[in-house]
Order: sequence, then C-alpha cells, then structure tokens
Amino acid sequence: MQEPMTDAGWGLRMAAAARFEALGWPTTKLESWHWFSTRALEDLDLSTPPETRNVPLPDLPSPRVVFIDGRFAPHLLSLGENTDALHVRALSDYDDETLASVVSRLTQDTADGALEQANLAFLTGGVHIVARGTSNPTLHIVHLTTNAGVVHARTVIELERHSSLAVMDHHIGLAEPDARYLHNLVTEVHVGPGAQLSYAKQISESASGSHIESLIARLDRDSRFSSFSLSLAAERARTAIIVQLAGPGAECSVDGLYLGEGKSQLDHTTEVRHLVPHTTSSETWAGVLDGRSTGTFQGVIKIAPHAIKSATRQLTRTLLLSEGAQANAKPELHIDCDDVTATHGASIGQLDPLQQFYLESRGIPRDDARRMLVAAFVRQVLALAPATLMPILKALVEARLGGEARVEDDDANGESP
Amino acid sequence: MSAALETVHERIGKGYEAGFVTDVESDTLAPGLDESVVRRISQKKNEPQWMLDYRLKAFRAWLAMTEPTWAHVSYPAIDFQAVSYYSAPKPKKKLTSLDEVDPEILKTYSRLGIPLHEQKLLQNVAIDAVFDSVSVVTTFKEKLAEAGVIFCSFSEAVKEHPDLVQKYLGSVVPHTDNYYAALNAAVFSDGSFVYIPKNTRCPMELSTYFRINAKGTGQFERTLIVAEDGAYVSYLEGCTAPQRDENQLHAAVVELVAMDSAEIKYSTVQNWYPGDANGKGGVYNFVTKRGLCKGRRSKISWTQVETGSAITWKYPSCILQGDESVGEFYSVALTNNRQQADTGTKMIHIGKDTRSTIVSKGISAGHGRQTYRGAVKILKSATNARNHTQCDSLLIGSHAVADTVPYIEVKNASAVLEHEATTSKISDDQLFYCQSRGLDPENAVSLIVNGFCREVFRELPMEFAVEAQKLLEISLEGAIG
Amino acid sequence: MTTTPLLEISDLQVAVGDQGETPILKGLTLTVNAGEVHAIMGPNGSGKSTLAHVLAGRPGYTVTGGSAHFMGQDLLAMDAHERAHAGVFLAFQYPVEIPGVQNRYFLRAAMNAHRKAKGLPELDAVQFLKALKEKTAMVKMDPELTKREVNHGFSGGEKKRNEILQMALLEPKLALLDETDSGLDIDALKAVSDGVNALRSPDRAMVVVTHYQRLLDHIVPDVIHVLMDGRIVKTGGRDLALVLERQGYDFLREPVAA
Repeated sequence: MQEPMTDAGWGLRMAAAARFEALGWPTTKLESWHWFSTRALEDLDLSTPPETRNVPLPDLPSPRVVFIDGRFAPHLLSLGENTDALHVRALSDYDDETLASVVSRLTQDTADGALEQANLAFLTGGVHIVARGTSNPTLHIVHLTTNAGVVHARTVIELERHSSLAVMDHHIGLAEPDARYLHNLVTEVHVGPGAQLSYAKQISESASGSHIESLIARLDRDSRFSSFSLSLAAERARTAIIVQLAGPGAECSVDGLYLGEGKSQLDHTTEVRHLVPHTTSSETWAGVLDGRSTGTFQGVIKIAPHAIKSATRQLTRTLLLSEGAQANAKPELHIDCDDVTATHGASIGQLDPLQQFYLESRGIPRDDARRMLVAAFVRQVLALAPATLMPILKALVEARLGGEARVEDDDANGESP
Repeated sequence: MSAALETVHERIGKGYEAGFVTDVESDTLAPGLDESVVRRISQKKNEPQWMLDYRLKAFRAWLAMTEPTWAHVSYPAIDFQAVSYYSAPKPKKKLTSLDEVDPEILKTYSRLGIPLHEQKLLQNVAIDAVFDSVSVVTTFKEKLAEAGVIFCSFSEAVKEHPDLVQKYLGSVVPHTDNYYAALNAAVFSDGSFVYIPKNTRCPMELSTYFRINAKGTGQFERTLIVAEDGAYVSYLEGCTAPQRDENQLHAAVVELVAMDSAEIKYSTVQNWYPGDANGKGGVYNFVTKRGLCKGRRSKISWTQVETGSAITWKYPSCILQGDESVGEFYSVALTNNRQQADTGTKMIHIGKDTRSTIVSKGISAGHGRQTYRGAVKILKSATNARNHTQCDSLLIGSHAVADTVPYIEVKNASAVLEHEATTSKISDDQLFYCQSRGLDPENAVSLIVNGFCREVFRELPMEFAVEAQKLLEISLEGAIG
Repeated sequence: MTTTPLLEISDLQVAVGDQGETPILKGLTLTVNAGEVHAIMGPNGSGKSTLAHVLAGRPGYTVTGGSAHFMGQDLLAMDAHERAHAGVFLAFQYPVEIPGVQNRYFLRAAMNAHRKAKGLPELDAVQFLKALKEKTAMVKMDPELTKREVNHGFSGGEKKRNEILQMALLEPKLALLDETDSGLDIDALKAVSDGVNALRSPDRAMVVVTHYQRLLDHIVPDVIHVLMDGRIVKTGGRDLALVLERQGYDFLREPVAA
C-alpha cells in the first residue's frame, strides 16, 4: 500500500511479517504441503509487486471490480446501480483501524498458513464486499497480472442475515511466458444466518505464473455456500479451501474442476469442519491431466464430537490422459461422532477404451472421440457449478478443451433439453 | 439413546478372558539394553558368529535412530531401559512332543483355548508354540519333512538352515527400515521359520501362538516365510497376553517372500490385553510386517482380526515387484475403552500388471480411537496397475472416534484405482427391526457387526474364522459400554 | 458377370490375450456379396462375436493369420473409424453407455464424421433433425430416447433399438449384428427385427450373429453358416437353422463322412 501508515497499520503488518519470518515458507514436511513444493518460488522478493506493462485488456464482465498487478484500478470499476444492498470497497480506501477490524478474523496462525501472514504483511490490494439484500447481481472480481513480481491480494466477503450474492473471482495472467510471478491470495468469507453465497473462481495464470491461495469460510446457521473452482492454467497452483460449518442447518458444496497440461502442478487441498449438529457438506472434484502435469487432491472432512446428524460426501475423480501425467489423492475422514453419515470415494484412471471404440466405430475420429469423452467426464462436475455462473464457466472450459467438444447438451434446434 | 441400546450398554465387561499369570520359573535377563545384553542373548541361544554380527550391526543402527512420533496415537514415553529383553521358561531338554512340555505351560495354553492338545493334532494343524520368547514345541515335523517343508523355530533355523536364513533375513525388512525393526533385529528372541520348496503346496495350515507372560518383558518375535516357485502356504498367527498393570512392549518383524507363482496367506487373530477400562496396563504392539511379491504372478494376502492391544502400530504391506503379482489386505479392527490403533496397509506397485485389494473394517466403541492409514503407491515402472480399496468404519457409542487417512500416489498414468470409505453407526431402527424379528439386543448387534465384517471373515482360514467371530462377540459385549 | 464381393475373408486366424496366446478363430473363410443376409450360428465360445469384433476393429484381438478385404481394401489395416467411414457397422451385443454425452449429439457427430470423410458438407441443425425424425419413425423408436444420454438408463430393448437407429442414420454397406436378440423378449425382438428388415437393400449386406434360431424367423437369412471351434463347419440354407434347433450343435461335432 502506498499510503503512509499509522501505528495501527504498522502494528498489523509488522506482526504479520514477524509471524511469516518465524514460520517460514511451508515445506514439504508439512502433511498438507507434502505434494507441493514452494522451493522454486523462494527466491522471489515477496515485497515487490509487478511493474505494470501496457497490455491490451481482455473483455471484462460487469459489474466488476478490477485489480491490475494487485492494485485497485478505479478506472475499470463498474458496479452498475450500486444500491444499499451491496457495499464494495477497495481495501486501500480504508484507514488502518478499519482495515484491522475487517481482515484476518478467520485466518489462523499455523505453519500451513504461513503465506497468509505474508499476504497481510505485504498486502498489495484487495476488496471488501458486504451484501445486504437478496437481489444482487453477480459481482466479478478480476485480477490481472502483467509482469513478474509478487501480488498479495485479499478479498473479504460478508453476507448479512438472509442476504444472497453470487461472486466470480477471475485470476488472469497477461504476462510474458517467462515472467515469473506469484499471486498470493487470501479470501475470507462470512456467511450470516440464512444467507446464501455462490462463489466461483477461474485460475488462468500465465505460463510462468504461480498461484497460491487460501479461502476460509465460516457459515452461520441455515446458511448456504457453494464454491466452484476452475483451474485452467498456471505453472503451479495450490488452492486451499477451509469451510467451517458453525451453525446448525448450514450447508456447503465445495466443488471444482482442474485441467492440467504441460508441466503444470495443480493442487487442491480442502477441509470441511462440521462443528455443530445438523450440517451438510458435499464435495465433487474432477481432474483431467495431460502432458506431464500433476494433479493433487487432499480433502479432509472433520466431524466434531457433538456434531450429530452431520452428513457429508466427497468424490474425487482423476483422468490421466497421457503417459507423463501423475496424480495424488488423500481423501481423509476424521469422525468424532457416531450419529453421522459420511462417505467418500476417489478414483483415478483413463478414458474407457470401450467407450472410445464405440464412438470410433461410428466414424468419429480418435481425437474427436477422446475430446467428447473428456467433455462428458467434465460436464458431470461442471453441472454442480452455481447456475448463474454456469454459462461463463462452460465457455471457459470449452475454449480450453478445444475442437468439437461441447460441454453442454444442445438440442440441435437450439432449445435447451 | 434408545431403550434397546441402553440394555445393551448395561451388559458391560465380560472382562478380559485371558487375564492371568503362569507360575513358571523364567530365565529372565535384568531390564536394560546395551551391547552386552545383545551379546548375552546371542550367547544364550548358542548362535553362530554371523548371527551375532547381524544383531550388533542392527543395535548400533538403532542407537542412532529416534523413535517415531507421528502416528495419531498418544502414549507415555516407553523407557527402553526398563524393559527386560529376554525371558524363557526353563525347559531341561529339547522337546519334540507335547508330553514333554511343562504341564503348567500346557495348562496355560489350554485355559486360553489354544490348541496344544492331541485333539488339535487330529485337526491337522501344526503348532509351533512360543511362550515368552522361546518356541516351546514344534509338532508335525515329520509330515512336513516328507513334503520338504521346513517349519521350525527361528532359533533352530539359524542352526539347521543357516544358508536359507542368511539369504533371506532382512531382505524384505532391512534392519535400517525403521526404529522398531532395528530394535527387533538386535534383540529378537525367537519366532517361526517357514520354507516351502518349489511347486509344493504345504499339506497343512501352519500355526503359531505366542504369549507375553513375564512382567516387563518386551517380546521380539522374528518370523520369516519363504515360498519358492509355485509354492503355497497358509500361516496363522494368534496372540494373547495376561493382565498386567504395566504396559508390555511387543515389537515384531515378519518377512514374507513369494517367488514365481507362489502364494502366501498370512492370517492373524490378535487378542492382546487391551488395558483396563481406563487404558491402564495393556500391550504396546509395534509390528513391521512386509511381504515381497518377488516372482511373477506371486501373491501375498494379509488377513487380520484385531481386538486388543492398548496401542497398535502396524502396517502389513506388500511390495508388488513381480509382474502380475497380487497383494491383498483384509482387516477387522475393534477398538474399545481407551484403545488406540493406528493401522492400515501399504501397497507398493513396481512390476507390470500388478493388482492390490484392500478391505478394512474398523469398529470403534467406547472411547476407542482408530485411524486407518493406508498408502497405495504406483511407481513409474508399474504399468497397468489396479487397486481397489474399501475402508468402512462402524461407530458404536458417542465417544468413539474413527479416522481414515489414505495416501494415493500415482506416477504411472495407465493405473486404475478405486477407493471408497463409509462411516456409519448401528441405528436404533436397525436394532428395532432385528428385535421385531425376535433377536435380543446382543444378538442383533452381533448380527449387524458380523454382516459388516463379512467380507473379511470370508478370507480367514476356516480354523480361524469361527474363533475370530467368537472373539469379536466377546469383545463387543464388553465394548458396548 | 462377377462383381467384387463386399466382404472377403480368407483363412482368418485370431487370438486373444495380452500376447495373443489364446486362439479363437482358427482359419475362417467367408464371402459376402451386396444384397445378401448371412447368419452365423454356433455354440458359446465358437468365436461368433470375435468375428464381428475383429471386422469392426475392436481392441483386444490379435490377427495371427489370414486376411479380410472389404470392397477390395485390406480391412484389417484400417483404423476403427476408417472402417466405419468405408461402410462397416457393428451393432453391439452390449451397447456401450456413455454418460454425459447426449444421444442426439452423438448421432449428429457420427453422421457428420461420415459426411466429412466423403467430402460432403456437414448437416445443419434443421437437416439433422429432419433425418433423425424420419429414421426414428422408421425404426419405431421413441423420440425421447434421442434426448437422453447414450444408452444410459436404457432398457435392453431400447439399447438394441438405438443400435438400429444408428444403422439407419449411417447407412452402412455391411452391417454386423452381434447377437442382436440377446436379452430381448419376443415383442422387443420383433420390433428390432422389423427395424433391421426395413434396412435391407440390394446395396447392403448383413451378417447376423446369433445363438438362437428364433431371430432367424424374423430376420430371414439367405445363407446360414455354423461356426465351431473357430472354423465354419457347415453352410446351408434356412433349413439348417431348424435342424440345429432340433438337434443342437453336437451333431456337427461328429466327423463328417467324406
């Protein structure tokens, strides 16, 4: 942040910097970082954000708040008719007292979350969103990175009682293929009683861009949170999602799709905590790994001792398309209460050769047949994405899969089935 | 909780059946472990120099290691110097038949229902009974000798078949493998040695029972089973331990080697003393069990039923080195009161077209805590590997805890893996349904639990299956509390 | 006047297994001309399905000898989709389910792939729907099935009907029907047979593989071959089927008098 800092501000940041210093970068000795190494990033200067290059911008959706190289871009802000129902402010607008009251209420001081401390210490920019009403348009948060450097971005989303909101978070790399950057993101989500948040994210970093993020959500009673994560490109990306079901009746759905190619490393680590009775969670993850990419899924479900009538299910499926692709999975259950239902499943495999032959025997050439089958695999998880965000997610996936692959059913005459 | 469950809960503690002590003169070394103790153990057993050298090498390696602490179990630190490392009852001469065994010992085994009796001989099981670190008697040697099968105590094998022992000892679990393996390699007292020659199907099931008796003795069993090309053997291991106040240490090593088209089936029914309701005085059970599927089309199956031991730490594993080799793991584990178990299996796929199957059923009751920790690793060389894993937990009572922590690592993209886990409890509805068909609550629970464990019990040799089911029932009666 | 046979198989030997160690077809010779309907019968394990699969190019089989030519071309040298473009169609005994792919999307993709191979323009939405409607009616299939996922949740009869619909849309020159009757009750059997019969034409040949004679009451063949232990041991007219029905296959195992 460029503004001169008050004592409160210094205190907040210095404390965070000291914590990061003490904890250090997370190493592969930590269980949850076992399959993701940060070694290649440790020479980056965490305090230096990228110097913005003049690059053509992609089409931007609306309403939106935009950050370029971590810095709020007021000239690109477009909120439409911003009413009392939705309050959107750049963190740089806040004085430090206010900032201290808004951030870090959910982050925890653990070795796993060391980079969350660095995020606060070197905060480049962020946004605070408060939703009050129920008829809010989908808000897009767009992060564009144009150059080498390190961005620390923070998003704080609060949904007040009975409000609802849809947010889509875009992380788009516009840097040169060899420009090494790190996008370090922390998202804090508070969902108030009876409120509903649909959240989706796309990660499309540049070829040498790395993305490490923590999303921490706390759900109050009877609230709903659905999160859909779409990881399309990055040299390496690790997404950590922690959901605390803290009020009875809370429900969450944490889903995602990742498509790896080249030497990409895509790591998704989730933790859902059932803290009180009568909460429900569901997780569905699908990975398609091509080239020499590696996909990792670690999903922890924790059910506390008195969280009776918790219901949880988790499913992860990984498709290995090429010889060099690798997959890791660790679906964990920690159940401290007997009156619950919990199931999880994980499968790793390839395209079904018999399905492939069936398509080929009808004249569909091999590549097209494979694309169709990959699209079929993918659409089953894509169907779980929040309805309002579905079209944009689908378009992104189709663009990435290429060729004739169509993820959506389409009635040939244009009607939806 | 429903009335039905309450009734069941009331029937607490049939108590640990096998809890008693035998009054037999023991030849016990004073507590403590240093190089001289290692030498004395080797000396007492009249071992050749190469055996002593192996022990010393292992002991020195152990000194440089630190005890692992990562398991989800918590226990007061073990003082390795407060444990005695050798205890043998004092037989006067070498025994070859049951008549010659000290009657006290026979009585002990008889009380345990352990078949060291003529009766059992008729049922065609060869017994090699271990009593506090020394094999007491080995029966049926002639019949096995006819088939060319060697089944004897480890100590005997060291003397009679040194070439075989030297060839395979430490080939699957090297002394450097882990802390307890190193300790075992230094101070192991005895165990079983089995060798099945080429194309021989071992004519009977081989069985060993052992028991930790003397106060404060650790028991360090060492078992080595080698099956040559085309051989088959089914081996049963069962254990009990008396009720003691102090925790007793058990650190065994089991090595299995299967050559081309050979099959080894290793079954364990374990009934260690679990510690009293407050977790005091059970058995610490740290075991390294590993099977090497060395040959093409070889197969190793581990089947286990665990109902005891205060702390369990064991991961029977299969290394699938030979092409088309198969590894299997079937397990039922019951933790009750304050037992803790951190258990599971490791399947390492190295050769081509290998297959592994894991079925783990955990029943957690009382304040028991269970962690299933499985690892399936498909190495780069393992083309067309297949794995299917099913781990299910049944929770009884609101304090029971179950953790499932599988590691899946795939470095060869032609692999296909399926993993499923479910956690559930016995519901009031299920109990009521059984009762409405005339079953009392205890039988109802038994029925449901048996159904839950069916897949695993099916894999046990007949001999054991019945015993395992009974054991589970007994343990459960006490467990529903 | 002789015309090139549509399908010419000569001493075909086929094995299964990773190293092709288990021989199934041990020297099969067969000629099929356009306009003909051949039936292949035989006991289980004789290799009937293997023949159909190998001609269509299904993975898992190794050709260890002999040859198969389709319209003069070496069929076995072609990829599965190339054989389809050339005009070979396999109606599967167990049609494959492809969850996540809509049936009509799949049908259109297949049709367009065929058209592309022939240098024809792709069908637009309107043209495709018209063709679909026409053929769905022709094979008397419930149009709703075209909106569901390929074979997913279809009954046995519906799956077989879906195969015939594909045949109607793709208009092959050689249709290989692999135990089309298995798992069908008499009504479904009749319906599927009607669909097949509607597709008979002088330009088209069919090879109907079946274990039971009853299918051949509905799809009447010109020639019947009996396959046993990987070879054709008898060829005859329609009546052969009745003989087999009455006497079973065993009578063919006895050495045939010279």
